[in-house]
Amino acid sequence: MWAQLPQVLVSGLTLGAIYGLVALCFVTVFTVTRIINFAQGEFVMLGALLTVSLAGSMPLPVAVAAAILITAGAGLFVYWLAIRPARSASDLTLVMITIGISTALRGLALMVWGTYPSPLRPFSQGPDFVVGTAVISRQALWTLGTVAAAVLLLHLFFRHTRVGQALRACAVNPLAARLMGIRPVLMHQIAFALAAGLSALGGAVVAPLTYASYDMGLALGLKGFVAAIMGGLVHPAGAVAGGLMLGLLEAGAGSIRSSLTDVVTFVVLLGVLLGTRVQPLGLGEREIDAGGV
Amino acid sequence: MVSDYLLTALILTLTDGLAAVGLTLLAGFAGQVSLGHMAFAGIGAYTSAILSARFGLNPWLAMLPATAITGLAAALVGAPLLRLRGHYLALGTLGLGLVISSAMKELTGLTGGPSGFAGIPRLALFGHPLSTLEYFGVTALMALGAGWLLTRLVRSRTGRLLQATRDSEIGAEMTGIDARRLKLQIFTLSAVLAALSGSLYVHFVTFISPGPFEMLNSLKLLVIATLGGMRSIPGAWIGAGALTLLMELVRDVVPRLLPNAGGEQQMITYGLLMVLVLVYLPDGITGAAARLVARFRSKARRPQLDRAPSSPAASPAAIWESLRPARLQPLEVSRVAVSFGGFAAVRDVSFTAAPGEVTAIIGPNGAGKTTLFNLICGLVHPTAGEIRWGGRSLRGLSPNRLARLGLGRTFQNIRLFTHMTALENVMVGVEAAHGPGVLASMLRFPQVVRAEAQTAARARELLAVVGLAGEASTKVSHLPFGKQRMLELARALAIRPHLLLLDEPASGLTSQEERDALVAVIRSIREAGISVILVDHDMRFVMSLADRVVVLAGGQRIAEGTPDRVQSDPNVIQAYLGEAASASEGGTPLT
Amino acid sequence: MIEPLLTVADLTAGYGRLQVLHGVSLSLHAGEMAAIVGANGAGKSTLLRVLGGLLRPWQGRITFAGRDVTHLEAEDRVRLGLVLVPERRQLFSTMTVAENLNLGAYARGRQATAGRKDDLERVFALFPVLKERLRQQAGTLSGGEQQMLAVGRALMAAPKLLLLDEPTLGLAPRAARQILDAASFLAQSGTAVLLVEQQAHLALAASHQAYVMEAGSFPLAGPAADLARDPRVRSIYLGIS
Repeated sequence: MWAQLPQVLVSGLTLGAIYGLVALCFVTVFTVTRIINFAQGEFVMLGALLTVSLAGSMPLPVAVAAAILITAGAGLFVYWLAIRPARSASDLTLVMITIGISTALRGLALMVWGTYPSPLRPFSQGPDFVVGTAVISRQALWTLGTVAAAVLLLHLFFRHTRVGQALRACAVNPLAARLMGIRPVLMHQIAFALAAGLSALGGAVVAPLTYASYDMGLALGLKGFVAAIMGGLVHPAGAVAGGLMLGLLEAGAGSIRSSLTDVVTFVVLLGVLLGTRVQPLGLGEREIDAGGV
Repeated sequence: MVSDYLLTALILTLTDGLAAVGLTLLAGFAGQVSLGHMAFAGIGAYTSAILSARFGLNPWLAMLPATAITGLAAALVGAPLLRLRGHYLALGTLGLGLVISSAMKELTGLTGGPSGFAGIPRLALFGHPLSTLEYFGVTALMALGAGWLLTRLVRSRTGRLLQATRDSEIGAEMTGIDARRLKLQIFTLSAVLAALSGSLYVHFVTFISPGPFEMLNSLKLLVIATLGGMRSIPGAWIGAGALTLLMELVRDVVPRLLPNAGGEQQMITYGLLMVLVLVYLPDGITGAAARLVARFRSKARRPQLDRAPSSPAASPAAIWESLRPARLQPLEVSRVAVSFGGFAAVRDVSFTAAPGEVTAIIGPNGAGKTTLFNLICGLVHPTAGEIRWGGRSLRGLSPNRLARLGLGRTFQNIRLFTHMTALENVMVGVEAAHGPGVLASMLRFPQVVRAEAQTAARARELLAVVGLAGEASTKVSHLPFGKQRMLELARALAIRPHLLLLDEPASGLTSQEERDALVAVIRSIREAGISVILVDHDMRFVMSLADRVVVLAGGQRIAEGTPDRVQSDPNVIQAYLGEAASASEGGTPLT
Repeated sequence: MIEPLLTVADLTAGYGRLQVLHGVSLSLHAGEMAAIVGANGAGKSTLLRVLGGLLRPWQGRITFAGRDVTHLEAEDRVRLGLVLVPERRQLFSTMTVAENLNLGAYARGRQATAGRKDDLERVFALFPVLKERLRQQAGTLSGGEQQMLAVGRALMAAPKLLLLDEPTLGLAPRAARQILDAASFLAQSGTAVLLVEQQAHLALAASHQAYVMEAGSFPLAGPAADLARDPRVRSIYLGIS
């Protein structure tokens, strides 16, 4: 079993990187808009399938870029069609709306791309690297590298650009952000589009490894959300760390018995939910009238 | 002769509705989401199937342990899960659904794995298995029975308590409702309904597989419940029927438009329906119908409760006497402190509120009055110090427990149950702590009717003493602000308080009559022996009413005494108006 | 006669069914500092929230720099130069002092970096301690420093009118005086200042005009110096009828 450890580490981190990326998208949307977009996984799926379809008729980098842009547009479309009109609805309703969106997107993907998983050729050809007993495919390196680059760029974006700081401000104190002249609706749209585009990138880079199919989004979305919760839903670093941890746990369980992987996720999910004391903002009412008039 | 196809469709629609009505109850009435609800249908179905197919148990009998086991499972799982809120709860139920789905496919020895097994006996009467027509009859009867019982449930005490919790969870807690326990009961009930539905289904089709209990069908239940209307019990079956018709249409029409379309029709339709209905038609079909009907009818009335006379038999004096507490207990606040993060909102505050007196807590903005208030009624925990009431420590007691001990409260921004009438609001106060539970509300007819009548009568008495006798059937949202304040008082009195905490009761009252009426009611409360602690900024109001005044500033007590003494206390003047202007600043101090 | 910078006419507002403001009117000129004093719960903060754009009024009109801004969103009022420093500061507490100040200038757009630098220097001149704490998280500053940051942040938006909601809340007397001195200085430099304060003495000493609010209207108004000597102010505060 221990001989497998390096391989477990490699697969775990590769998979975990994607979970972390999706978790980051959850956190971005939640902190800025206070909405949990249960359809986030579906944007990963769209990115993957779009890249597969477009890669046939254009150079791969262009296909990836196009997939990202189209998915970002889809994110905006979803925001305007379903989220914004329901903005005064209860949390319960919003949860169900995003689940409805997730289902509709899955059905749409099924209709357009069918049931068979579509392969995508790896970004760069060449033999796998061998380190000790672990085999690292080039695509795994691409995945790790892309996610690392994305996280870094995102960090720089939030820290050093005007829009990024405005998004952070929205997340930290939405009231004060308005008083700075920051327009909430614009920020919400940016957050949605950004998260969708980033998820699409994750989908494109992982497609050669896991194959793109219409239902890949469900599991990815769920696991990404679990990872986001491990970071308390508000800490990006925690979300990425949570993703990596989850990936490692899954790879470890998978090395013992392959059918255990899903079970592990759900057990972790339930454990984290019940164990964590951090709760998202409650349903409707503010809990305490602290502070008076 | 009615075709088998049609009857089968009807049977499936009825069982779908039966599973969905549990969801309506859960989501529409108890405000909880369950995203993996078919898991419970699956547990019930598999249990019933295994017991009857493998162990030869009569299917009628098999359904009993099936529902019981599912109910037990739901109670076990629900207890920790219902502590979560919002998204976390949704995700928990989703995870649960997926785990059980997996289990059905993995535990091959028990469940027959992904392909399931056949040979499940049909329900039978007098020896021979039911025909499709007869099965339809049985299912229809069960659906009607369930619908009727559940309608009785939501019109009873349980229904009111659920609605109250949905309208204002804090208001409900402070009126004595144990929201957690209530939600768990409803959760269990919804699981039992799903299990019954699953068993009925499986004894009809006579084979079982994991397929019908997968995630997509949990979603289908949600679509049914929202399409029909979450606030209506019959809505579950209306939604089920509407969805069946819609899916037939989709199956006919879509292949003509998209020749290669297949199973994804379901997914897209469910998804789109859910989004469209929730965004544009949030109360579903029944909600839209109700709105249409309301346009042709005046204010909707609930007949039974209105049949009673509008003025009670007892005199105001007698009603006030009935509110006199059995024991006189002082409230002793000793050296309490509360810190939020690093900020000390309340520091070393002590005072005693004597029974049968009005104690006012005043102080400038930011003094910590509201925090202190929240401390006493259990919404905030002290970081130091003790609060004792009649010698008993109040530390750690939940708000609803305190309410049951006789601590009542009103809120500055009024936490009434906005979707209910004035009478119902007060009734909740009367019956929150005791009354017929879930099962009793559904089944025990004469007792429930008697209890309802008594509760309503008591509520009318309380409305009368605060001057709202004529507003019994008015919906809270239609009441002007001043009357809403009075109603909150009546509701607080309904729990038979020994101590009443009034949070800015005068705020927002515009006319002198409203203020005078409020002062009169509070004086009657005091004369009835109930202790009152109030916080308010309206100085004239406070000073004319209070027996003792406690002044807070910067989280500490700076003065205490009678109104006159406090008004002339230089510390108090300074706290409110700021430092007296010194000679160096040039101005003369305010006289 | 110069047109007032801000004119408020017959404002009524409230929360849900609770009416807080009952027909409030006032006007303010550039370079003027006016104080609104009164006991708590009277509606002072509600008035500023309406002026700042965080609360929709039920009736009435707000005119700013010649424009009707009654129904304009808060984020758009900032761009016009109407800036609110809300009650309890509302800083971005997990962000640094520098980031807070930077965000204050958000409304001015990408350009005007030169103007922004000048304004930053002016803020440091007014509140030197902020320059020392640039890299510190806003939430770790003392109460007085936080208030200075809140005002400094508002100044970065180059306001024509500054609305200050209880700036001395929770501050020690010295820090309170510092803030009000800064406000006076700003008024002298041409910015109009509307100050809401519960601590009447300090506010009246620092302002030109004053309004006393009780139960959502202004029973008393006039030059601040006169009101400082008026015994009715104290009666209103302490409920002596």
